[in-house]
Amino acid sequence: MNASSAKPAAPAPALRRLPAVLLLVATLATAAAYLRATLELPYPELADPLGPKIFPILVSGGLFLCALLMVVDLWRTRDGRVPVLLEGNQPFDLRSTLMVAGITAWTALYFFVFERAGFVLSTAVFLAGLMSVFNAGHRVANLCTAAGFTIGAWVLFTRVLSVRLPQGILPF
Amino acid sequence: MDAFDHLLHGFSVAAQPLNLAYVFLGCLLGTVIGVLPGIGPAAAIALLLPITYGIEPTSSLIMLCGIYYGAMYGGSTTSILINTPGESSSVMTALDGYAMARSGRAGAALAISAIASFVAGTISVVLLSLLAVPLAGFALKFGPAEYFTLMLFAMTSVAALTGPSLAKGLLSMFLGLMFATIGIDLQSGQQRFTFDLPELQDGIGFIVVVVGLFAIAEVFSGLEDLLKGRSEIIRMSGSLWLTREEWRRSVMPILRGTGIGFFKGVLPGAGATIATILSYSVERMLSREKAKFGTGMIEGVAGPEAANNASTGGAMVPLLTLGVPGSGSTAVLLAAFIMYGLQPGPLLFEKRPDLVWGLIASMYIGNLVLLVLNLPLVGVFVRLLYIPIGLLLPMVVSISAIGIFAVNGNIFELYLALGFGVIGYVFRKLAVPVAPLVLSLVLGGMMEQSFRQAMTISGADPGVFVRSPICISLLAASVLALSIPFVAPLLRRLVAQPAAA
Amino acid sequence: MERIDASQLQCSPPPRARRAVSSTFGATLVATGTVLAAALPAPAAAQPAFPDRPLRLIVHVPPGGALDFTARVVGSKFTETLGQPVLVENRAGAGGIAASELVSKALPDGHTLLLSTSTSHGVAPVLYRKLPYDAFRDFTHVSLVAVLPALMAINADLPAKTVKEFIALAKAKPGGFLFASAGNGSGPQLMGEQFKLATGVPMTHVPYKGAAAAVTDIASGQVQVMFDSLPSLISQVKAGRLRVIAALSEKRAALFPDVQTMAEAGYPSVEGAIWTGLSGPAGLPASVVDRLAKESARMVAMPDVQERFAGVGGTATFLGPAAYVDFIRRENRKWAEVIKASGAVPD
Repeated sequence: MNASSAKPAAPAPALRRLPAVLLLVATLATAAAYLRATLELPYPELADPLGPKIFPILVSGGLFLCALLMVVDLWRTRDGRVPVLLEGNQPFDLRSTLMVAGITAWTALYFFVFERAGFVLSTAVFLAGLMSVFNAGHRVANLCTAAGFTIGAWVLFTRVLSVRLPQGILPF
Repeated sequence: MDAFDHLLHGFSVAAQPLNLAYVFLGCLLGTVIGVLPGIGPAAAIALLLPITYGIEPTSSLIMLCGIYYGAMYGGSTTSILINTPGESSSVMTALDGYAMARSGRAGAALAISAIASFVAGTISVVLLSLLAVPLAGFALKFGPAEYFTLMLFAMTSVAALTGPSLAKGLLSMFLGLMFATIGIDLQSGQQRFTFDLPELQDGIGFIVVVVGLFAIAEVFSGLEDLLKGRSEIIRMSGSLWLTREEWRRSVMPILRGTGIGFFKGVLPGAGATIATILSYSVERMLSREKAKFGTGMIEGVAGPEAANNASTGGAMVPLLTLGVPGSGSTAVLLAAFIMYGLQPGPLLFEKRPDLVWGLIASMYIGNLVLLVLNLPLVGVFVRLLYIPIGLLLPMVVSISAIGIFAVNGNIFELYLALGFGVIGYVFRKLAVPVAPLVLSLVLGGMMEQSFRQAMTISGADPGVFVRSPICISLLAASVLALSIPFVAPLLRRLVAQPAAA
Repeated sequence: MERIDASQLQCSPPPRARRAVSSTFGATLVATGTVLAAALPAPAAAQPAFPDRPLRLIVHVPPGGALDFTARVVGSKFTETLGQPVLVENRAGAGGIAASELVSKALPDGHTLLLSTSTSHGVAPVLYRKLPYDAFRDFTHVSLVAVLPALMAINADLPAKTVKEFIALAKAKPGGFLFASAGNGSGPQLMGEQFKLATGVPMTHVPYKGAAAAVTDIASGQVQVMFDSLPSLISQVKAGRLRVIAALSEKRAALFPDVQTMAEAGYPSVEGAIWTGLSGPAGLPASVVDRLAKESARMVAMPDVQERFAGVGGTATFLGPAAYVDFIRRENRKWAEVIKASGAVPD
């Protein structure tokens, strides 16, 4: 139903199908790596009748089955129709990908100093940084929000609810 | 039948001003901490347990129940507003609740989730006081073989959540099962796929995955929309309150969800989660607009929310009557009982009726307090959505970090959550559903382990899975659930053909 | 059996509750949480420099349960006697490795302490091939605090009333009995293996995730027997679904005076317990160790502390620094032998 109702492909059909092909490749690679890791597990001398490998082997079989379903879908739509696999997809673009990579790096840095510098310092800096990029032009409001949220959360969780957060290098 | 006398007595205990204050305090604290992404009732009780040390046992347990309910509601709130479930049993709420919020009906979604919780909680307390003793032995009938068949049945419902492409839905499910095998294998004691990292020995926590796939992925795509100037400010459409139409559509899902929730809650294990999955699939099955599920159907919020809350009452049955914890949250409650020198079990009903019935009554009062507390707060919560995205989403990252760090104090889990955030972002781009991954992560581990326990107990005889009536009926239900998607169109064609001819 | 009723087990919290609520500290704890207590004036201003800020006591289990309970008792008593709040931190997981590693790398000034236990220091050092620390070289062990001896509990439908009857029954059953545990490498498993080695009874191990699930399956008869401390067993024992047939301790259990010990049954080598103690990072100054050991000895002698441990089937037991190290070494040797002889090595 879904495949037949799809419109003829937009500009470059081969390129449009690329995400689906990449998903297939990633699925195959995951399934193969997982199966390999399972087979490499040492077999314990003492174990239950089934042992620790059967279930992971079945799961990797399931992953291969998914790959097979994807191949069938791609094969059926080789005439340029849109595969079911691509339904609901959003295109990737360089700018967003770079942005996500940037936020990931900034967040990783935040987590890296989370315990070392302490919650208050790391969070205030992290928030102020992100906000100044994504809410540009409101410098005072951003700084106030970052500081206010950080201190409010710190007081609420550590002082009122006795939830532990890293204190770090600040004396309080 | 003096259960009602006992219940009345229980109310007189629970309604003492001090105990009322503890229920209120518990609900309030529970809501506050339950709003942290990834922190559900079990984690909230565990985190706040130390606060109750030093209070008189009855009051302390009453307060813990308040925390339980408050955290549950707090989890629903984050599911709806920022697409981050607090625990596995509010994953289903996020599907349509968040979609409702995106289309300006956050107020209605929050209100119906409070109302559904209240109605379900009320009914389940009544059921609990009537059925606690008759149902007592049921949990003991569930051995590993029965668990396995129950998990199998639950997985068939998860598989049905796939969306347009079967391949992508199954991929998500099998990836969840794959992540569930990471860690020390319970049966053989062997490390599987841990890469010699001690942090992975206990497996990948649900909190880490759900915060990554839901909250952090949401931050990525939200900021991407902002970057492209696509993010429209969500306009509240209509009143904060429910429309007459929304009321009408919610009544039956709430009642059905309550029934499913209570009886699933009685079963130990992942009762609440399975109940919400079942309630959601039942509502979708019964709906005439199946395809619209996932786009903001109020039935998809009302049913699972009722099921979730009713299962709390159900889960109290094995806890109070047998001392068997039915869920992560009741396991923590059990620990609290034991710490106070109280052993749940039939004797507790005889020896400390004031405590048991006081507890049951305060569960009811807790529901009421939540409703009173939260309905006025709906307006406040909804205003959160007015915060500029560029300010709100960074704060979501920090709140997520607090939530994860508070539970185990482990920085490694923060990195892991960030990794799952990237995966979640890619999944979103490729329209791979994430709910099956999260749910099969929760259920998969139990499924494998109970299968192997059953095989050890039976001496490697697979016949153990067809020996009890419970197993047989659950297996039959699984086969039925799997075949419905194939059989239903056939039947429809059979019915349609004579009409066409 | 009637003697083990709720009154004995309930006696623990109320006295504490009264005391706690009457003190400023307790009230503050209830109202605003532990940390605020730091702001209260410390009762003993003339203390030497050692506790000059709040202490952290790291526990390797989640809140609730017997081990966490011990930590809370130690925390609240030390808060009173040291004049600085002691904050209990739960760092759960992986046989206590994460918690132990954290403490082993902390600054050795006595402000970061570990609740060392039978799991983290009795079993883990001989169970895991590689640990990120050495159980002796990287720690200063201060004192033993409490011991909760294990019991042997069987499904109450079995006709056996003594260990001897149980062995006869197990040998008569084709395939033998099943024994449950709280996971591979857990205390209950090792004690089960110990029992197998000593008696030659055929038994198969069924691991569960945590003691609660294991006990439930013994209550329903899926599995026949488990060796564990009282807190995990008590609810089903009292409900009459589990029967305690032996104590794995030197003396009979106070709560089960009619139940014989393993030694009385003829198997003195079957012996096990959950125990907890205090440890700090390697290189704690001698003055700090002395102070902590002194406070810990004082605490263990307090009647209300003894009463509270008795309530969960244990005894508050003090051993000083040197004796505690010997105790840990003895435990290590014992479990190493069991693990080697039974082949129950997970990794």
